[in-house]
Amino acid sequence: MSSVIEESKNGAESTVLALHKKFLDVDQPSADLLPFNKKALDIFESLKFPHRKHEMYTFVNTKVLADTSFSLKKENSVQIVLLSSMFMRAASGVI
Amino acid sequence: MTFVDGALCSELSDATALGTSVKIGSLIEAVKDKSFKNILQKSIEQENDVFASINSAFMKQGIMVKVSRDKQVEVPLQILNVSSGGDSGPVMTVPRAYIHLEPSSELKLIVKYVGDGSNYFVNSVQDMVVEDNATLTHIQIEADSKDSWNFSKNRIFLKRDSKYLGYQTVSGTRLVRNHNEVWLNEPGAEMELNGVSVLEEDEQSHQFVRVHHEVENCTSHQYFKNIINDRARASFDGTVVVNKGAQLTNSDQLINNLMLSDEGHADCKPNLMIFADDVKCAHGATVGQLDDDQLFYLKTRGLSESIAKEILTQSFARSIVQKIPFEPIVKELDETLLKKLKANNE
Repeated sequence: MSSVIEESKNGAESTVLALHKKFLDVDQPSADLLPFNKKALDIFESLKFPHRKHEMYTFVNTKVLADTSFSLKKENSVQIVLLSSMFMRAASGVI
Repeated sequence: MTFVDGALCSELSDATALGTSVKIGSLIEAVKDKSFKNILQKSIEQENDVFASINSAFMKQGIMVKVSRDKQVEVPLQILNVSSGGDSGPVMTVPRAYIHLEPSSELKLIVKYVGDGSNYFVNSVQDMVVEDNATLTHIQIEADSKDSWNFSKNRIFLKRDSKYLGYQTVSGTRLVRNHNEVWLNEPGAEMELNGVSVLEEDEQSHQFVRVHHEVENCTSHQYFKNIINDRARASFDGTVVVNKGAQLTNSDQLINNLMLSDEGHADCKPNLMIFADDVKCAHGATVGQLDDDQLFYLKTRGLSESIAKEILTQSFARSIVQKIPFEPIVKELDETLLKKLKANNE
């Protein structure tokens, strides 16, 4: 029954799952955050994109958004290094 | 702090004015701290919003801000999220922030979303913990480019006698959705959430608010205004949950919609769920057009109809904008958000 009122069928979710696979392979998130990434993906799979009768999305039509195939913007690795060094300075009270 | 497409841009960031009382770091480092790790784990496991779960699934960077005990930071901290858009297709960025105010501290936080390109989706999550007697002033400004989506989730945890003052302004994109979830976990906690959206053409702004009064003697105020022109849409879905034992709760929510066209659309759903018997709770919503009598009066003073409309619509929005306790932001919104109303009426 629930599949009848689902705004997006499995297609939209599978796009996100494919993007996440690419994220793990190409972007290689930090080992410290990886367990959180994986747990959140499990939560995403259980929640699924909202259908029209979802109480949190009663007035919001997310169909176009869910059906759009997004890619992730490439981050500059130098900036990540700088962020870490900034943290170290902050932790030592420089900032 | 400036983030370009979700990555910190150090050339455009400078936190030195905040002094040593504010610690700023990356989530990657912060997660090595066990207490923070537990908070993050809990928030991910208990996630109820699918888009916030997508943010967590793709979380790679993020910022952690911690204000030390008894420190009142006068200088505001601005987190500027700049999106450059997708040249070769739609792109998604997942800004993530964790804000922690230790007891008796104060912070003014400005989170701003701006965009220079198109075809992008900003999907952000902010977790905020305000400890005993601390005050967090949080100003969120959405000023993305028209061809974009912006979803944000704010999770706010308030402890004893703490205060959260939230101000959200939306200038409209294809789709904006702000999800605010506030827990008043200890007696004496106070929250105030104000919002204003100015929408035109096919822009959409949706507010989803959940306030959980978990214990006695807490206060929550919500005040939202929408100005809707052309075929724009706005909605407010807000629920205040007063749990068993949360006696002497004081809560109110009010949503005012001003319709400037026949094709605009406004939905309001203010809800109260009360499981305690000694509380003061109120909610209300209005949808209306400009008052003909007020327009007529201004015209009798020699003003043209377009100027009269401009004065009335701007003053409608300004009642929220002027509540923002930081003058440069009020001036900036005068020149950006409220200017939109001027253009509409010319």
